[in-house]
Amino acid sequence: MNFVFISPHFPATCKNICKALKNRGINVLGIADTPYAMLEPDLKAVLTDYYEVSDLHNTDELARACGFFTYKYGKIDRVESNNEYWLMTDAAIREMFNVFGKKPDELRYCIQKSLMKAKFIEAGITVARGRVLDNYQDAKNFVAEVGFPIVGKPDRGVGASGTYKLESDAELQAFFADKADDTEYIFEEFISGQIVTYDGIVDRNGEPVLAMSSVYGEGVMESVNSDNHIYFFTDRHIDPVIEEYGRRILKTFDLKERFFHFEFFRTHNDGKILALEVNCRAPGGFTMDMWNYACDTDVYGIYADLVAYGKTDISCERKYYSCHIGRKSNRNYQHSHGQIMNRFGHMVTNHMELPAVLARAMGNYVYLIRATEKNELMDAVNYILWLD
Amino acid sequence: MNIVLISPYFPPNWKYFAIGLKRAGANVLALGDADYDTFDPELSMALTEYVRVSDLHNYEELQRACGYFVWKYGSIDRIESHNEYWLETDAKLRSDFNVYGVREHQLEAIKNKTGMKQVYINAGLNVARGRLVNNSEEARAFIAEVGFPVVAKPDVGVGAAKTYKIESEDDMNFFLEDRLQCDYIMEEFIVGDLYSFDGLTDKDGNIRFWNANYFCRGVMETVNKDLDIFYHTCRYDLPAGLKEAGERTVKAFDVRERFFHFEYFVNKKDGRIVCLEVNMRPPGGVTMDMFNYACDVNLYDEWAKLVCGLPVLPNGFEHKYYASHIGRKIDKNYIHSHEEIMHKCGKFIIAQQPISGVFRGALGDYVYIARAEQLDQLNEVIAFIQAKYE
Repeated sequence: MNFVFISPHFPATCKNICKALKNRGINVLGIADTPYAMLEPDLKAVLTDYYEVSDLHNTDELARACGFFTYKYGKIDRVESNNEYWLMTDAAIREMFNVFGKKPDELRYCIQKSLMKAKFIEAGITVARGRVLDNYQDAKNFVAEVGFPIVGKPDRGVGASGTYKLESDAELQAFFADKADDTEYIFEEFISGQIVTYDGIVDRNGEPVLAMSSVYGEGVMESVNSDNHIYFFTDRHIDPVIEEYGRRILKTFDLKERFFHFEFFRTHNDGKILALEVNCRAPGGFTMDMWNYACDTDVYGIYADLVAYGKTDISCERKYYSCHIGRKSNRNYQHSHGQIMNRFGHMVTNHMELPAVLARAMGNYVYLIRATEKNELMDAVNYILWLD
Repeated sequence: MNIVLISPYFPPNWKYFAIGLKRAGANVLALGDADYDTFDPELSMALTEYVRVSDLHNYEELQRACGYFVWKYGSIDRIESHNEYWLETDAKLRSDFNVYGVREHQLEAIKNKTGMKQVYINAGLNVARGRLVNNSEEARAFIAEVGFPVVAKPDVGVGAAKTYKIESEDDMNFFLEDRLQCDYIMEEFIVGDLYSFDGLTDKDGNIRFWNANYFCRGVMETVNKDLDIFYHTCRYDLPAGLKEAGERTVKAFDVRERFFHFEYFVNKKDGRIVCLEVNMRPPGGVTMDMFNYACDVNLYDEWAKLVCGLPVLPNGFEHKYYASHIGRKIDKNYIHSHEEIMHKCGKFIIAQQPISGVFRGALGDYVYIARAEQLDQLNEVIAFIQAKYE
């Protein structure tokens, strides 16, 4: 079996997937624009072959790279990057070489937020009211309907970048004065709620093999924009409504043999669940490690099993709450690292300092902890994030 | 443009496709299982590169070879064999390398004769009454409906192999014993003349070149009775309605940027055009050359230009001559020798050549291509060449 991995060196978790694939006898064929010599030794060790292109955006080079792999190894069976940024590239190559998985036409629904919304509605899932708007007047009409604040985000955007919460007419005007012409924006009513996810790994038949649900202390957008600290944890019990919606989304978006990551709002007022977005990839950050800690499992192995055999024997029972806590260096915390490790060290599965680019969304210093009981977990969260 | 030609050395006149492509400025990337050293030098000179696989039936090798071409030359723009036998292989490779042209699912409709018949019917064209018959009861029920004679042919099959004309109870029993164990379609026998309507369409499905052929008799009869055949292109004698039927067939089967070869009967009783079959490829034998001689064009080049986006037949074309295929079979007792033919009819004979063994049953062992402005001139030549002692 020939698995083409686009950009296997970034993000760093990709090498774990490569390794698991390689262990199952799959040819792992990497394509990226980094010189081979610069790849980490443990990644090199698991790549069957590597084709360096001058630019991953250059379709001709990618075609030639995959042509080379086809020539040398035979038919390509999979093309994946597991990276939001290259999802369309994956799909374009799949189309070029007739490879299993989503083609560009089908993938648009998982990338463009306006199309996503239409699919949610088709699946009978509630969403925040919203639409694509390209001028101030239309936006004003929209505000007349839903009221301030509203949230504007690029219709095709990754993560929370380029996302704005607009609270007044002045902000709305300023937004349209600044907006780049070539970016389409979708506007939504602001939902005051908590982000809850449904994510995991789905098999070739569309059946979720690993299902997890993370609960966020604060929306990602708020953390990025207010530079606040952050925590979120994987739940041991998935809200039945989330589970039902999640399964419906898997069906409606026809996701097969891949990681997935869906986001929902649970509103503060009435606890209603609204669908926020679909991602056809694994959640970022340390989430996959958190899953491993939560279930004492090997999610990379599960995924590789599904690719290689269509099924897995690896069990993934949710034994623990698994939590990501990110402290920010611009805050004064009551408790020192030493105190934390002294008191909760038995719960800490990992801790590390993050580079500045990741720190804004994930924290300057991260603790991954786990606990079987929720109150036990929350005690640690409160202790670690206690401000002076 | 990167054009992959499958088996460009067969039939031999297909080398002109490669030559035309090179002339049009394309990379001509050839794939086959024949030894490069055996190629006609004209062909070798036209090829940018040739990859020899051990066996063209071994799909994985073809896949790797196309991978190699993509690696070296970039995305492939066309994959074409112009050959009935490799139609499905072409289509599969096109799917696997996302190449423009007929894909596997589009071949489904023309793979079997019943499917084809349905497309004709949907397009409002006439067909011979017919249906699948799986046993003697069904066959007899059909005959009770339409009467003798009927024709039975394998539902999936090329050419006239294991095809039967059934005129009596005895024929029927022979058919039931001799038939292949596959689906057979039984059709009423149409008494009429066999014609083909052939041509080339562009990407939008417009017919850019066409001509028609009159056949002295059906291929089935020629093969089964081991007769010699002639057929010729049409000028003033084009049967009414044939061109219209051809145009509607092009639409019905959505033929784009391809040669086509359609067969029809012109019913003797009422002159109606009855659709027989479609082929999504150029007509075989020397027919392409006959068209070239009949219209003073080079269709091989025109196809290459079409594919490469160059202007095709900018000055149009005209059916200036009749061109004819006149076949002779080695075991027939002909009155006139080759020398006599060349002496008497030489000014009409534009080409003459032996024919490859697999086609001898249908086309003859040796073919003269004659062209003439008038039909009576041509008929004289045909009569002279094929005249036999009783």
